[in-house]
Amino acid sequence: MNRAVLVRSVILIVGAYIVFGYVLLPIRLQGISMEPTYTDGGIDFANRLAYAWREPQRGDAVAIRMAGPSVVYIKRIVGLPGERIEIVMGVVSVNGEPLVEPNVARKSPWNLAPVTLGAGEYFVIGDNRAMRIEDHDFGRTTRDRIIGKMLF
Amino acid sequence: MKSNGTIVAAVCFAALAAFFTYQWWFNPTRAVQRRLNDIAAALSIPDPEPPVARVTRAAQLRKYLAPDIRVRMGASEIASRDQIVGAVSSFAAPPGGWNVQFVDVQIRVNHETGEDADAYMTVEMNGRDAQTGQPTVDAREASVTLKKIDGEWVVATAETKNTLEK
Repeated sequence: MNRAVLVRSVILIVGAYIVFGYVLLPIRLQGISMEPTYTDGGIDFANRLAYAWREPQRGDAVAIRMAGPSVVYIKRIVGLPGERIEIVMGVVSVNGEPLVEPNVARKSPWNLAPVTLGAGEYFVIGDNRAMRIEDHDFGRTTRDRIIGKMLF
Repeated sequence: MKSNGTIVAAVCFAALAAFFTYQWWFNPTRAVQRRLNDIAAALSIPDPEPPVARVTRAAQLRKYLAPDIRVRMGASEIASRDQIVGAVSSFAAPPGGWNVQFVDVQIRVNHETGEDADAYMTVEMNGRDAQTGQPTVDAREASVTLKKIDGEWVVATAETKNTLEK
């Protein structure tokens, strides 16, 4: 009986170590840049295997590492490699076509001069566009910095 | 036979002790990590902080910076240790204090000279919003170079980097 409990405990610990160490990165959300989709103080996971067999897609909410995985940005991909991104009065355009963004509730009149993405570059923005543009970190990132897709 | 076993065990124990002593005290990477921890502590502001403690903290920070230090944050650059210490000591912390941590630190020591090193990290700053009292967090990537002066690791240059480029 005791041995069975021990075996189960070991399996549970090893399983949790593998899942949370290598597959699902636990993330405590801080900040308002992804509201209303993700709110300050919430808990979520980044699926590190999401892009093992396919590349990140437009509309994916992703975790972007800084120096390492301890502190990450959560942003949504709006631009893919090779595309030209522009923001005029809050409307994001991809190669000149306005982008439909169902996750964005309100838009402040942001403006950004056209940016052409290089190979392996993605353009990411938070869903909260009611913020002042100066207070919102967004822009280009590279494929190697995208560590996973948000699970929920 | 028995005495041979004892000798082998003693040698293994001594080797392990030497290894851990080296790792803990003499490994230059750990020495740099300890110095970075000292700097993070000197940049953190407890609440409340008596004036004497503030002066002590500034004096500690001064010891960790090279006289010819250069710090670049975005487009602005500070190339004076006195200016940096002055700015840090006059910084008004939000109610509840201000905590600085260096996380995901990657250190590379120049093993040829053993006198210089560079570190790449995320600088995480935790505080509280002055108006709402809610916890706030800000983080920036930073590159730091350190050099040894009189046997002590000091910061020679520091530069923040934007994770997302517009």
